[in-house]
Amino acid sequence: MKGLLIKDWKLLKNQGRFFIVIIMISILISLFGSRTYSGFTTSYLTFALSMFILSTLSYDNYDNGMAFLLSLPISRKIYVKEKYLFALFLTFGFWLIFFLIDLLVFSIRYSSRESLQILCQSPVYLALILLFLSYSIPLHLKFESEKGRMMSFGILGLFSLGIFCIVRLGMLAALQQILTESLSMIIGASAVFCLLSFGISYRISVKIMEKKEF
Amino acid sequence: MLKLCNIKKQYPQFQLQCSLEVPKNCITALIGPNGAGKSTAFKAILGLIHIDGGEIELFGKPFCALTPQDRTRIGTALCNSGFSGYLKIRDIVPILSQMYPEFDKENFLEKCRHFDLSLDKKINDFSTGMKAKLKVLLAMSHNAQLLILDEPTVGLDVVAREEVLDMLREYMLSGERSILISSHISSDLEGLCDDVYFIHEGQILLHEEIGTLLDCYGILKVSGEQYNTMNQTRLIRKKKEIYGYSLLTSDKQFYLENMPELTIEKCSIDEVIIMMTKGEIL
Repeated sequence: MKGLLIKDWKLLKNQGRFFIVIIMISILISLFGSRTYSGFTTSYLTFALSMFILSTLSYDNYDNGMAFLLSLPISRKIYVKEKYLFALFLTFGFWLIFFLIDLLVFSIRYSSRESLQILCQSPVYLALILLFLSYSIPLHLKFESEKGRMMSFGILGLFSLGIFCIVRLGMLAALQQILTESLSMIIGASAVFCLLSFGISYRISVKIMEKKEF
Repeated sequence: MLKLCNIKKQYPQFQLQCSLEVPKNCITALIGPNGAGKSTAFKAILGLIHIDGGEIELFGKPFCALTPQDRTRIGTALCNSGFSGYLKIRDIVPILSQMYPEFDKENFLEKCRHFDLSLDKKINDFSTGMKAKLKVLLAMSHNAQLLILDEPTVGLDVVAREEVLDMLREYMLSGERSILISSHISSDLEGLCDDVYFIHEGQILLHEEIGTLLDCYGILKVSGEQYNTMNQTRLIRKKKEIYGYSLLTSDKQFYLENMPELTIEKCSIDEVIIMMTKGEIL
């Protein structure tokens, strides 16, 4: 599995400049962006960078490369396990970088109460990103790059539509109140839900890979 | 080293059903026209497809009992698949070092330099020939006992092809190694392989030692009248021609001795392929 992790790391490293640019943008937004979007923007960037895990799946599939990869001394289960580990490592790594940037910059720009309010949103976005990956990885493995990507974003679109409806129906304030009142419980439940989703997603992905032919 | 016992794979419009064996210290070729089932057989051996029946045995073990450690003893080069084109050779080295305990880094890098393969260029930017060379070098880089090479010389010029074939010959010098190879370039196989399997429409139609194939097989060119009066017991295939028939025999000597008036030619692997696929079974 270490060999596969090195492979994905090398693919990531070859995109190094792109990641440095994104981190610079994050710093600039934290420094000069409006307060309303501060927390959201960096979380959105984490989301954008976590998409790289799906890109590694595309790179592996590119030019029928999966056939060669699976002829190496690795099992299909190990391949899936590596992808999930890499996804966790990558998402959490980027989230931590952006969180620390925000923490540093917000402590300069805002009062500690305001900073805390913004930063509290951050774990929620992390949970949402992990949730997105939980359904996207099996979809990419099953339907491969283009179709998988379209389906992933289709589901994301439906989710966004749901949020839009909540806002339009004037339920946002009620939702925010629930979130504020039972924040610790919601964070705990989200963490459990995300880990559970990730675990279920992993098992589904293993089944998909074991059935697949190359 | 490798045994395929009546393996079956059913697709909607194609069925593979074949048995073959690659003994120790042997280079075995799998030949056949496009779509004959060569790649399907290779995929079955590598576990890339699920077979519907039969058994695959590698290193004396059933395929399902192979451990990742056993798989380090296999080197693979597939004609239409390889490492991601976004990687460089320099990126691949640590990957192979991790995956194969016997990866010979120095030798691999030296061979890359010898073939002018840049370590810092993305594989996507390599020419077809460079990619083909890299695939063979990768397969041979970790002291594998069995090489499975699907069209390894595709895209190579004559000089590079000969260099690759020499590398394969050199590879076989240290014993206990075997190669299963497929190629469209029959001249490569004639000077390299010990035995050959001919596959057509998913079935093995012929298995012969390469020496026997080149020495004993022959093409007879006969008129219709000659065909009707001749001994047909040692003929394998018949193909209609303008002058009469061309006939494939597995016992050229018999006809040379008993019917010296016939036109008898030595046959190449290409001619055997043509006769086996286009000819009528006798």
